[in-house]
Amino acid sequence: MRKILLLSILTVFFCWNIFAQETKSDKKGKKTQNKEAVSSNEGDDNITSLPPSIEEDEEDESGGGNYVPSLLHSSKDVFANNTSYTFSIAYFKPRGYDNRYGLVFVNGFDMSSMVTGRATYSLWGGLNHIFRYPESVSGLNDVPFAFGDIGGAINYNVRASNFRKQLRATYSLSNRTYTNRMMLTYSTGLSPKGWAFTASISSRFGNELAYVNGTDYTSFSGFVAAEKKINSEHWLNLAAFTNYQQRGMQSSSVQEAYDLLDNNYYNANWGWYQGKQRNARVRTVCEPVIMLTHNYTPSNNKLVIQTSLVTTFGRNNTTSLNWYDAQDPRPDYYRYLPSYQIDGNDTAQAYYDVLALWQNNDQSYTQVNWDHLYDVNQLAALQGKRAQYMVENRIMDHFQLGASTNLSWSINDHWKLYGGAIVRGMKQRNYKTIADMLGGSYWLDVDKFSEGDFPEDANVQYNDLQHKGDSLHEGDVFGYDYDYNVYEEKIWGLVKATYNHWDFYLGLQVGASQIWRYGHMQNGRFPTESLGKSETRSLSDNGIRAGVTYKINGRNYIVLNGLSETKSPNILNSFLSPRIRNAYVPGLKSERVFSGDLSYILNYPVIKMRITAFATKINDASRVISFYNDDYASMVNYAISGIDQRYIGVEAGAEIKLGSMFALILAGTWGDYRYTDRAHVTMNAENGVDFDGQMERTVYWKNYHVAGSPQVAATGGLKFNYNYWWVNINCNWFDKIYCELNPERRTSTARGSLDENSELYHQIADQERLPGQFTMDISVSKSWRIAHKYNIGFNASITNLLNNKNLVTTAWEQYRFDYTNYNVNKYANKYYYAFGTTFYLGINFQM
Amino acid sequence: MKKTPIILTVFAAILLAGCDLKQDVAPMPTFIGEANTTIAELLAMHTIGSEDSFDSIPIGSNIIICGYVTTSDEWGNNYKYINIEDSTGGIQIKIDNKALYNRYKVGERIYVKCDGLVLGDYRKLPQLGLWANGAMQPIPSFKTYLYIFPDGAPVGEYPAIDMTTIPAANNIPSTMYNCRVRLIGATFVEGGMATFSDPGASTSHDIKMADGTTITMRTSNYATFANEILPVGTGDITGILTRYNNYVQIVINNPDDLVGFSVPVVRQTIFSVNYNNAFNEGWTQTGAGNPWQTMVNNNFSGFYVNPAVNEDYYLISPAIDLSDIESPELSFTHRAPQGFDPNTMMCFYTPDYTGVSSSLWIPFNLSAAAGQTTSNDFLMALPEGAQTSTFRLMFHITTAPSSWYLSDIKITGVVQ
Repeated sequence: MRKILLLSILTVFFCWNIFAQETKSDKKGKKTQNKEAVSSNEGDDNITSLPPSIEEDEEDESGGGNYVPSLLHSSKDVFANNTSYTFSIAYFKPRGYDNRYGLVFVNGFDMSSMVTGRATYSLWGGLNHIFRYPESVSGLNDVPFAFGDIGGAINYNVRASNFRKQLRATYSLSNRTYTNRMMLTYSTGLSPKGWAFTASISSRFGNELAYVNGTDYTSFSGFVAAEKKINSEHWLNLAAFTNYQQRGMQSSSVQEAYDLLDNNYYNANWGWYQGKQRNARVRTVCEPVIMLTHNYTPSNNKLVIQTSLVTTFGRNNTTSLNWYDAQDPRPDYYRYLPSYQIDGNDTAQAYYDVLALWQNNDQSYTQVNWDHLYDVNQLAALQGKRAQYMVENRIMDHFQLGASTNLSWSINDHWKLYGGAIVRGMKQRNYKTIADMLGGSYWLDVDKFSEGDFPEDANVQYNDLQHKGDSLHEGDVFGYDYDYNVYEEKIWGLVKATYNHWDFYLGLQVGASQIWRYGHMQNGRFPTESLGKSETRSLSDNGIRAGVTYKINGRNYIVLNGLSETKSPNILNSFLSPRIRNAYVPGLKSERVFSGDLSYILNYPVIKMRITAFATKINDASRVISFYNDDYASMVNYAISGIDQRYIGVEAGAEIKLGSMFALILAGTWGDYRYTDRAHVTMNAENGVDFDGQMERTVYWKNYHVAGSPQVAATGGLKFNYNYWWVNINCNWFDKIYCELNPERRTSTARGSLDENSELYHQIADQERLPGQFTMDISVSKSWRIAHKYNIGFNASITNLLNNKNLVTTAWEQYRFDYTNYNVNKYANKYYYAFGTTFYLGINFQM
Repeated sequence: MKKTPIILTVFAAILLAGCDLKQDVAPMPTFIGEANTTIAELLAMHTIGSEDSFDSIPIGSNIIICGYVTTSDEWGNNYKYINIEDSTGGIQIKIDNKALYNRYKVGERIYVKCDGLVLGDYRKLPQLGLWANGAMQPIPSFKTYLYIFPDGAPVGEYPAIDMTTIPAANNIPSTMYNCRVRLIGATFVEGGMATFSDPGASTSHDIKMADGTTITMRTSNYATFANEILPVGTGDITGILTRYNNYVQIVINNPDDLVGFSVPVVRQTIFSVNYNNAFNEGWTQTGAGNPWQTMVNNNFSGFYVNPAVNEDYYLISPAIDLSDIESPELSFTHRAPQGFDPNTMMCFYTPDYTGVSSSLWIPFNLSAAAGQTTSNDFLMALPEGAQTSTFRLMFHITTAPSSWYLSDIKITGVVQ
């Protein structure tokens, strides 16, 4: 019923946009068409909003009572423009926000995942010819195509008519995640009959030069779009794109393993099998997107309405090892490291034996030993026993349908109205299948952590009571099987006024989302609350924002923005144990976001600068993490609610021209991102142990740092540009990099009666700060125009020129905690390191 | 420009707000509630009389006891249990985990929700546990959160009950078992002669009180001090009073619970030889053809030599630091199958090694072999001048054919 209702709404919504405005003037439409055609002929620089051309006018700087041009925020910001790539090596996140606070749109449609809340860039991976030069708004500035969020927003225009007539080919060679990339794109431009077509294909493959062993990479992408100019006011575009991607994943590991192998890029996921590197964790993604977009621009040219009907569907699956009543097959499991062999001060022979295996990099020990897994399984099969190892496939199949409409209306010379609405619905089935039995005969679907814990109730161990005796084989579903259902409706509006010295805007959003879970398995631990539909929860997504710009003169601006919103939690963080039961996280509610920033902007011909102070408070966020808990001898789900965080800082960027060929770049940010209050935890053990209410905990992490991004980053660089030669050199510094916290270590339970001044207490409770690091990048590019018809270009870049291999991009405390011996090194922190020196070479042909 | 101070103020406020802030500190766990039953009242619910008898504490009875932890398994002498004690008595709580001292510290107050637990006794020693599989079992670690609740910081060791005499087991009230007691004027019968525990199993040692009554001290062979020698003399022993049927016992946490005793002189091995790797660990030998070798097999581990021609063959030890050793003694075993000749098979030491030929080598008087295949044990106290940091041994053989086997070379002494 809900689907029918949604479809009906979408259909009415879409038709209204197409047919309600058919009667507009065709004559003036031609003018519009010409304008758009010109715009689309700007080729790769087809930025829908151009930067302010202040340097070209000769306006009186004093301003006086004259009109002072406004800033266009939907342009390349001097800070973002000079840091987005150089800071990416350190996994820098602007202002420290999670990616879910940065919005990504395609043709005005919100492309964020309805499960994770984050945009999935891999949907259009490899289609760089198409997805480039988005309309972007950084920070809190007002967004013309959405209500926006604290992390800014970008919008890709993938209308076929947006690409001028061209044939474009690119080949790239790199030693990063893949070796080769080829892209080919053809656009017809807009024909006299009002048709435009664009197609692009891309392939990325090879790991001969890849930085990390075992990370095979294969990707094929395709994009097609056809657009018809129905009349002077109506345009209809159909676009479809997809990216099939399969890649072996890199593991994070403990420093001990990295040090023993003298390799910070050790990947524990792979092992030798039949003479080849075989990765146990292979992710395969193919999630096509189809979007029908209608653009309406009436002849008065004061109104633009863009409406998109979008569907996405497909599969995202990741393989992983699974085992039962057998040794952990992961080679860097803590028991296989030399440190585990040390008992007190005693270094037994086992220590030296294991040490030698690591130091000699015996890959039958330091990598996945596939032969051993097969041997164990085949022996079990000979004895008629179940398999002990297998490779499972964790699958997410989703289908999403939605529509959005956005309008921009110039009411008069001073006032402009932006507005829009979006309706989306999604169902994602999450389940596991047996991908490879590894020579075993069959599998039984029982929870190894529950088995034996409940002798009085044998059913507890079964993951699916309706198939509890089944012998399972390759392709069979096991473990868990459930649907996430998410619906979302939002409507927003923003009015903007422009006067001589003052601009201001006010925006509102009203929205809601509904979520529920549908279980396809009756789990033995929760037989009455695992099968079928859960209760539906509705959460709000309302917001208000406002901003004011004081235009001192045409060169100096002061901008103040503010935003307050509620943001519904991801469905991922809404259920206590989504794999096995329908129960929601207690006290689930939308998080509350308050944010403001104050900027001073300088815009002279020789210097462009922005300096911004920002402050953001996020309250009542929630998160669910799963891990093995030694104390409960079970997988537990740790539902954290009431997470309060604040992000404050200053960011600044400047570009100073040094003559006609050189420009000096200075950009940096200093931030301080912390938890501001204690959080509440509800623990739930997947082995079904009922803890009679004792699973509630408080996490004492106030004033600890929120990890996930360097909180200090700076770059200084020099740009050179002469006769179509471009050279960039940047020196970068990253600091205040913190390890992500294990909340359990900040509870009374973990502290016990430890003296807070004791060394052991500090080992447990203190947050690791990683050392600051320096990197250097250089890039060179050149293009030639041949016979006034062809463009040939090349670009080459070297990232991390000084080969610094000590920059930690991600660090996290393992969630397991050694309650027996309080040895924090038993489950040591895990790290990912930024690659050392990498290169990228690309050649480009265009006609 | 009038706005500049305002802007600067905002920026400064942002920077100041991010200055180092004190990180949160989790408080120690506290129990919300009160004890409603004393340990003595709890113990009264169970009749000790038959071995291994049990009484379940019904769910809903809402029995909460409170006591202070008196045991620690940090030294390995208490295994999978803690003892708690209040002013009325003590009780042992069985928990299925090790290293409990990290979670339940000596002197820490513990509340126990007894509903659902089982009260019983093992060989008449009262215990609290959980019923499973037809017997009392330790409370699984993951269920301790249901029953056991630490409360606040440790307040120091619980006062011990002084005892100068040991009554018969049945004359000691059941509430006194599992309590911390101090034996005043106690003497180990085997003091200075036996270790706390034999290597293979937990061991009992008799303790005699001044009035002639006795008690047994029970020590686990897994205790970290199991191999230490029992102290001599008379002193005080503090530990947990237990019983095993009609035997009264005491169990200590660690040797610090013994006060006032004399520490027995213990000789230690100062130097020994790893024959698997001796020549890589400082042993050197000179002479044609490298005749000094090591041999390691099931029957023999040591050095052997079998010169082919008459010549001087030296085997020299690495430097041995005896500067802080009292009463050092050299011992080894040697065998000469073709017959021992003290003129051609010699052992020397030097207090200050400067080279094979330049050092002052002082001979030991080796005894003659009793037979060609008989091993001879050599033991000699090293003279006072040998206590240097550059002490070395040398074995010297000169004639052929005359094989000589050396094993168990070691120096013992008392570390100052």
